[in-house]
Amino acid sequence: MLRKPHFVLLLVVSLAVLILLALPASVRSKLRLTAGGLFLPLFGLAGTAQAVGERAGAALTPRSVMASRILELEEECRTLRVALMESQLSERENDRLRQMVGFAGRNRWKLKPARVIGRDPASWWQAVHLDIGSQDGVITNLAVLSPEGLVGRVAEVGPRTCRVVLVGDPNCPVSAALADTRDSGVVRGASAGDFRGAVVDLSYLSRDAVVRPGQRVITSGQGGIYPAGITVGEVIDSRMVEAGIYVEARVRLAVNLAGIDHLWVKLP
Amino acid sequence: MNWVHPISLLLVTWVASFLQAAPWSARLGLGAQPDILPALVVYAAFNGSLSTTAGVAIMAGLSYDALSSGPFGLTVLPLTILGVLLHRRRDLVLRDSAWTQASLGAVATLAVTVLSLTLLWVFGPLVGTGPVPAVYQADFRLGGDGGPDLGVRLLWQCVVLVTGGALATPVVFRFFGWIDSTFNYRPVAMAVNRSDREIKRGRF
Repeated sequence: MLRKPHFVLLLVVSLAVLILLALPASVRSKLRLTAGGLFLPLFGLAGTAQAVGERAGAALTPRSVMASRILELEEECRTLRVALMESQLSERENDRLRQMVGFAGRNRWKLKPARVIGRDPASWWQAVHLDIGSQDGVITNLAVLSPEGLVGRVAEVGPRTCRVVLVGDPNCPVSAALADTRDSGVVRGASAGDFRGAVVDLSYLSRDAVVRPGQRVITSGQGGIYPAGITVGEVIDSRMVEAGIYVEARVRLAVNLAGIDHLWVKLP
Repeated sequence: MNWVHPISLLLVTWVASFLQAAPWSARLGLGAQPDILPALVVYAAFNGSLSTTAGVAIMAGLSYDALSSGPFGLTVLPLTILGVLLHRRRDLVLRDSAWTQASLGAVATLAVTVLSLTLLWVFGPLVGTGPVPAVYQADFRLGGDGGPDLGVRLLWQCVVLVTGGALATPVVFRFFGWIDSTFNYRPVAMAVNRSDREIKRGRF
């Protein structure tokens, strides 16, 4: 049996944990952010070390390689300028047509760039920490994107950092739809047989839904958090579940969640 | 009293928690994150006082939960239970053997993982995941119950965790052995000649 001091210690810690868990979620969130603040010096140190490493790497890169890279980027920039011009023309046309039909105008996205400074230490949660917080105008439940598609949503916000739960985390279900047929369902948790969280399930599709491998999956906009039309991924395969009540499709995420480093938070 | 040992343990716990959450962590390659905090608690339980063990377990649990999506404070309990049980039985274990250290590290990591997941299943739905917009709650109910997914993926994560714990524990013991020998004073060796152990000889 346990000796008295061991027993007393276990009792005190158990009680303290129970009290902590019984606190309101907002209080626990504040406590977590306060405790997380203790790691800010280490996050800062890691960021500085990374920047120094990048600068050292750039200094070691030969001039010829840099020059050819600049030429490549200039070429890409010219192509993107043309694409932007075309897109602006389409946008203006779209606005004119909206005015003519009487539709409400579209809101322009306000995107805030951010850097990934940390990941969730627990393997069964999918989350990252970003280097922007409430001081930068970030609030909870904002969509987080990368150029490839949807990444997740802001779950907790501190003054200088925020925690983002990623698509595939149990706490980040997403209302999504098949891009061509508009059949909608819910993207949730990591599918069986995938170790890296690159595959998720699109559940609750109608049993009559036409699901084909390669179909693009986008956000449906019905959840209230993610704007409609953001790419989530593409269908790998599908099956009937729950005795044929609904169809579930496996979806390969468009974003490589293991390799994300720079993201964009869509501000309200 | 010498404070090098407990302070270095707490400092290493703080840095280890951060390294587990660093963006370049082993999770990227393995798909699961090895956990070295149980190894630190095992070391503290075998080589520290009860208060040092409790301090390390509480610090490790709070640091881990501060950077994780799980309920804040939940990990403190499995680590403290582990530390207290090992501290109680430490005189019965051959703690200097690397094989014993590795075995203990593996078992301790598995025990902490199983306890943490059990507590998550019990307390996860009770404590919830914080306020979410009303429209989103419909998705939330459909999408999950606030608990982690179980399956083949979790099995792989457990394999990585247990292997990581088994490898990390002897390393932690060696590292603190070096800290101890470098920064701590050595106890004065007892004199060889002791008057009370002298053999009194008679004349013949």
